[in-house]
Amino acid sequence: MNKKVFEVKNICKDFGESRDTTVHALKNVNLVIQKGEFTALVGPSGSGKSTLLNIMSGLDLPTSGEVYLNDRHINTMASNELSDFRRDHIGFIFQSYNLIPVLTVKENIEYIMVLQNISAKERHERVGEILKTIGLEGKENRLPTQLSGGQQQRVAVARAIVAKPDIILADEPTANLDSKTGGALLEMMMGLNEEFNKTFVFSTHDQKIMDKAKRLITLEDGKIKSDEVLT
Amino acid sequence: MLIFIKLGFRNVFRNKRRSLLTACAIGVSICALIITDGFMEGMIQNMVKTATSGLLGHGQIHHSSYIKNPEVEFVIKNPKNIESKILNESVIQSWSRRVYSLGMISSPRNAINTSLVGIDLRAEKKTTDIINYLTKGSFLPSENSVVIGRELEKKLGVQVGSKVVLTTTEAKTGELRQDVFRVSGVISFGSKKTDSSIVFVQIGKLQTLLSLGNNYHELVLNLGDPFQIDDQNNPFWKRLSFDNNKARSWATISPGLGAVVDMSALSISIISVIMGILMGLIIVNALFMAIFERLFEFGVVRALGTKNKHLMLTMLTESTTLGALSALFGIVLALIFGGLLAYYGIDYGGIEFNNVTFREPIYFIFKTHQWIVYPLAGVLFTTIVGIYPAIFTIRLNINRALKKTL
Repeated sequence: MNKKVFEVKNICKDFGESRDTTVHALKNVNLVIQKGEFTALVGPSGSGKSTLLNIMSGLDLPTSGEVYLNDRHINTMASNELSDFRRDHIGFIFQSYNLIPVLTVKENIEYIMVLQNISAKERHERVGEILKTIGLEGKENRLPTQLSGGQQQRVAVARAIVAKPDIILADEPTANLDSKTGGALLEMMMGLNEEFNKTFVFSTHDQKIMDKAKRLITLEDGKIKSDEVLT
Repeated sequence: MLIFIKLGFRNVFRNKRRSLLTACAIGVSICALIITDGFMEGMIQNMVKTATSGLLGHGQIHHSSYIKNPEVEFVIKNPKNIESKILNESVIQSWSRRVYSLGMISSPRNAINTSLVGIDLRAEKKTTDIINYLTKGSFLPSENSVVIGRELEKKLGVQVGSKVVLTTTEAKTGELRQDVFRVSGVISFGSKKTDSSIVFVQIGKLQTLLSLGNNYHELVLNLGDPFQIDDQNNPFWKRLSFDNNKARSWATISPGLGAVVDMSALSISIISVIMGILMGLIIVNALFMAIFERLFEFGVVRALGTKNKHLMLTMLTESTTLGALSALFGIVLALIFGGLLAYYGIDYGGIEFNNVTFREPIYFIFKTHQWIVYPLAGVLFTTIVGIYPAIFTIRLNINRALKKTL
């Protein structure tokens, strides 16, 4: 039986300060993500994909509703506690790679493990393993600017999974990549999902991700329009 | 922790041009402080050396009453005791006796009130440089010769070789005494006031005119370095103050000169504060520009779980590195300019300040503290100022930072 990782209950998110200008970005959204899922959140721009991802990750607070990660209610956590929780349980992949440009590939991947107080020896071992997995062996001492866009996004994926999070949230990870590189990255993430049972949730417009996703959640006007499990 | 320090350090070199310009601006401020300090030091040393190499000396001993009321009868008490005590003070390199009196100098054209100074030429040469202030003629070659101030020469309408009459009053009886002298030389201390009234005669001659016997009014001391014992609270001055005589340092005798020394320290402090504010604004501006430029990145590292202390460490490392670079730049710049000023100096010759006329260029004086205190203060200050932008980053809303808005 699959284990529940994420649960979103009756989430609403409003933006704007006065009643006249309020935008209802999310309206009563309910969602459960099981371990090992490879889920794509799709929908037109402004449908609420990124807002939902931000609320799921605790980067933003809902106007109402509750978010649970591993049965912990994350909205009630204090800032520091949430920060630690996020660090240990959620991996992030951003649209524009967002590696730290002055740190090497190895240091970028190590960064989150330093925050987790993992020993230098273990960090070294894990970096070695993950570089092998993402196919960037021998490039550990390069700066991000010395890598291609695809390679940089691979490092971003490595950074997201090296801390062994329960779920990886990816905000349009292939948006800045060409079709071939995006496809290769997707294959790599699918491999991680299948081999290590990693849970991925994407917000995307990329048809390739939609085609490969095991679950497709379509958002429209801040509501879940459809939720399909694909085979 | 090392990774956050590395991150802060490397961030400085991300925008090399901005960092270089910031380091230059702060470095120039540090350099300005060093140069100001060294130049002030040079000015003070020049002033003090000029003043103390003249009539002032490094210290003087008088009868206590003479200090309050410089009457002829207040001669140094038990001079032999003082002189034997002086011989035991190794710090005193040389000393000279002087006799002072008010009097009148007359020429066929004019009669003017003067200050008569009786000096022991041989001892005076070892103790002060007043002989170097001679502009014409020779310094008291005979008993009946006088050296007069340059302004006095003009007012009396005399020249070297002319005859003048000195009139003064006897110490004990108050009777008028006068004698004829020949002008052997003209002297100028650069001060109009002094040059209009001073007349030097041989000490023995003035003692005779005043019927003082071997008594005298002043013992002027040469301590080698005027700054060696310039503090009046030094026990040295107490040891030489006895038998109702009082020994004083130049700083006490000439409080105006001492005040200039104190004032220069105050000036440096004021300049330091102004430079500090400027440096603070520069560094805050540079760090905020860096923050706005890396707003998304701050959102990312916060999203990854970077804690407040880690962000603080990164930002403070960045500001400290920038401060250290600036200090290094400031030191190099100050070495160049200080070196040039130490070699060539700035010529203020002839300019009078606080009754002291600069006789030679003012040079930059190298002092160890300049190269430690100001650069370190610069680094420390930039580190402290860096706390403000660091707190700003800590308070950044992650979600807004990821949307690159504040």
